[in-house]
Parts: sequence; C-alpha cells; structure tokens
Amino acid sequence: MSRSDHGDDAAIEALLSGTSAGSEHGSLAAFADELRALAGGPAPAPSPELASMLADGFSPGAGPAPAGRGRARRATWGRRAGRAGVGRRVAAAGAAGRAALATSVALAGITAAGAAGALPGAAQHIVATAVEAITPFQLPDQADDEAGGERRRGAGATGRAVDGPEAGAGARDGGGEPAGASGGGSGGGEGGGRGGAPGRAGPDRGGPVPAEGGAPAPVHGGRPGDAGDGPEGPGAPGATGLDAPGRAPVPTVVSPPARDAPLGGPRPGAPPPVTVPPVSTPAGWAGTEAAEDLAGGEPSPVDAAPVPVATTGGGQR
Amino acid sequence: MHGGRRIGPGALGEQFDHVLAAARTGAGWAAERLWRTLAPSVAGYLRAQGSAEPDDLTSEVFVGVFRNLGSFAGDEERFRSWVFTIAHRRLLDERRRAARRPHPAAAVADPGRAHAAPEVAPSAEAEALGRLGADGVRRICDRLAADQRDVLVLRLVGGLTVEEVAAAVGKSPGAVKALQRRAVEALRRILQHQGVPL
Repeated sequence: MSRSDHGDDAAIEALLSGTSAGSEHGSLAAFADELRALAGGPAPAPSPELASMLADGFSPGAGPAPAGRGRARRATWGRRAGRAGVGRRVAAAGAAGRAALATSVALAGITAAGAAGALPGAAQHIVATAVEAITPFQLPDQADDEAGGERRRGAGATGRAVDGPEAGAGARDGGGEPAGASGGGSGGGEGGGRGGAPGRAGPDRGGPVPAEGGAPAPVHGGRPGDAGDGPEGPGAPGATGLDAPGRAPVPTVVSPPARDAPLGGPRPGAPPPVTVPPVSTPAGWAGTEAAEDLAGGEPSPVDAAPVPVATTGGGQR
Repeated sequence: MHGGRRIGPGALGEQFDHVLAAARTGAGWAAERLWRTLAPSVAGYLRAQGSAEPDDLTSEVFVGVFRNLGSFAGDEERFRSWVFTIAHRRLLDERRRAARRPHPAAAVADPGRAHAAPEVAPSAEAEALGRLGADGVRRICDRLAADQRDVLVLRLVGGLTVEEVAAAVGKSPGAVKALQRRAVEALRRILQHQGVPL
C-alpha cells in the first residue's frame, strides 16, 4: 500500500469516524452527517411479537450467535436440530403452547403412574376409572379395594376427572369420589370440576389429575400407607409401573374385563388376574420376581397372584 | 468517541451490564431499554440500505437478538456490533426474498431502493446548504455498489469499526478498508456530478 493510500485511509477514517473537521471534506462530511442522522429519532413501533416480548418478558434462548468476531459465518437461524432449537421452539410457542406441552407431559406421567398404581388413592381411582372406560384393562384401584372389590362409578362416567387442557392442575371431579378427593380442588372445569367430554376420560383430556387437597398429583408417588421405596419407587405393595429412573418397570397386574365380568371386579372363583406389562414396559421385562424385589417383597392384594403369561394357563384371557 | 467509533447519545454506558444481565433473564423492561437504545440506529441503517420495510425488519432483528441473548457475552460496543451483524444478515435475507419474488409494487421493484421516507429532519448544515435531505442521501447511497454501501452505512450509521464491519460482512479488514476507500471516491464523484461543491 502506498503512502498516499495510507494518507487517504487516515483521512477517510477521520471522515467516517467523525473526527475530521468539516472543512476538510466539504460535502462529504455533510453527507456523512446526514447519513448518520438517519439513525436519529425515536425507535420505530415494535411488531406485535416484539411488543409482546417487551411487555411480558421472554425466554432468552441459548441459540448460536450470529457471525462471531473475526470470522463471518452464516447465521444459524435455520438450524433446527439440538436442544437449543427445541428450546427456541418451546420459548416461541407462546404461553398457550407451553401450557399445552407441559400438560401433555404431565398427563403422560400421571397415566403411567396410574398404571403402576403409584398415585394416591383418589387420584388412582380417577385414573383407573378413566383408563378402564376406554381400554380393556383395569388398573389397581384402592377405592375399589376399599369398597370390597365392588367398583363404584360415581357420578363420574361422565365428565370425570379432568377437563380440557385448559384445566391445568385444577380439574377435579366433585362428585362420587372417595374421601379426600372431592372439594378443595381448584375447579378448572365447570360445575365443580366435572367438565369435559361426557363419557370420556383418558390421556387426551387435559391436565394432571390432582391429588387430595387439589395439588397436582406427583408422578412418582407411593400411595398412602405404602411401605415403599419412597417417592422414587412405587411404594405400593406389589407396586407396578413407573419406577425410579434406571429401574425396570414393574409389571402391573391388570385384568382384561371378561364380557360378563361385573363392574365391581372379578367374581368369586374367577380366574386370577393376568399379569400384563404396562405400556411403558421395554423389551426384556423381568417379570414378577422383579416386581417383588422392587416392591419390597410384599404382594399386592390387587394383584394377589400375578401370573406371568408364560407360566400359567389358567389365568389368561 | 471511542475506538474509532462515535458512541451515540443514547448509549447505556455504565448501565449496560445491568440492563444486559436483566435482559438475559427475559426481563421485558431491560429488553425495552436495549430496544430504545439501538432500534433507531438499526432502523436508520436499514432505511439507508433501502430496506422495503425497515420498521418491520428492525423488529425482526430485535426478536432475533432477544431470543439469542443467552449466547451473547461482551460489552456495549460488542453488543452493538452483534446487533448490526444480525441486522445486516436480515437485510441480506430480505434482499434474497425480494429477488426471488419480484413484487409488482414499483417501490419494491429494486430491492436496493428505499421507498419510505424517514421522518428525520435534515441536519442544520444540510438545511443551510439545501442540498441533500434524507431522501437525497438514500438516492446517493443507492448509486453505490452494494458492498461499498454496506461498508459505508455500517461505518456511518452503525458506528462500527473496520474490524466489526469485516466480521459483519464476512470480509477481511483490508478488504473493508479498500471498500470504504472506493465508496468515498464514488461519493466524491457523485456529489461532484450533482454539482455539490467539494
């Protein structure tokens, strides 16, 4: 680079940085000033999306920064893989979307816990009823046990348990529930919490099933009185289903209802219930021995005789 | 002035670290402070570059800024550089979209041409001289080569240093200096041609 170029560069640098005297560059300096003036004035009106972020806050992601210092590269706005992308999508989903996502995740966990019999009594009853309404399976239900094996369907075939997704943690069925389950709920639904599609209940309906007192049911929870493994393991005797992380799921003893099976449960003399693994059971489920090991060795009165499908013929339907 | 750059009167200065920390937690008030500090400059940059919708694009820039705030670390100068880098990228995206989908509106026929007059009063000098004005400035900028205009506007409106402009446009500092030299020469010829005394 020649000396004149250096000199020019210095003069240009002074012009562009605004340090040069106006007389040195005449209209160039005036032009530069006018160009800078375009940056003056108030901020433009924000878009609706930005206005919402400014007013309500936002979730700053940890997405990749655009062109870094010293090395220009394409901005990675289009990158969708990875947790950062997921995080951005969740953050951008809006409050309703995030609520729906959280509700779905919680409901999946509640359903799994219900299959394991790991929910508190009232919640277990609600989930069991809901599952039984749409599937051929029966879940452990302490309420039925307490009623002497006779299944109660309270006011609850319709509008039972949970309302729509909007209910969040608040849906509660106000009628026909075992003690402790009614009232006190946050009443996400209409009419005391019996809202929702009549006659239907299930994983596609709404928020987590609350435990007694209206708090959302824990996903991993022992039932009252269980001698159990604590909150991580299902403490219910013969407990089944979702366990602490890392453990093999415990089989749930459920009985596909016979055509003529009474609503209240198996008839005297009916074949023992068949052990059927829960939905979440991965391949290689160990069987009842594992269940007993994990549950502390006490067989459940509900699944009194868990019979692996492979080892018995009498109880299988 | 600092480091070859003019710091605008709206700079946060000592408050920047506090505001940035709050914005990184998602605080709307902090985001608004950042918005009000830099949005005028970003909008001015986009107008000077002939953006079809500079206000909307400015909002889009800041949505991207706030969503990626977790990845930023640095001082106010670096933040400004980062914001203008995002703005430049968004501008290129807009130009590509406009080039792929020609718009029948005459104002957008040329992606590089601005169509909205900013509501910015001309400088006192320009008023006294009665020569340019905001529209005149933009018309002159339109006559520059795209890469020359990018460098010039980022330097003058964005207040970026040579190195920061280089990072934003993906060129070496030496190339940026060459471009700004050519841009100034081109400006000199244009203004001379228009009868503006140099």
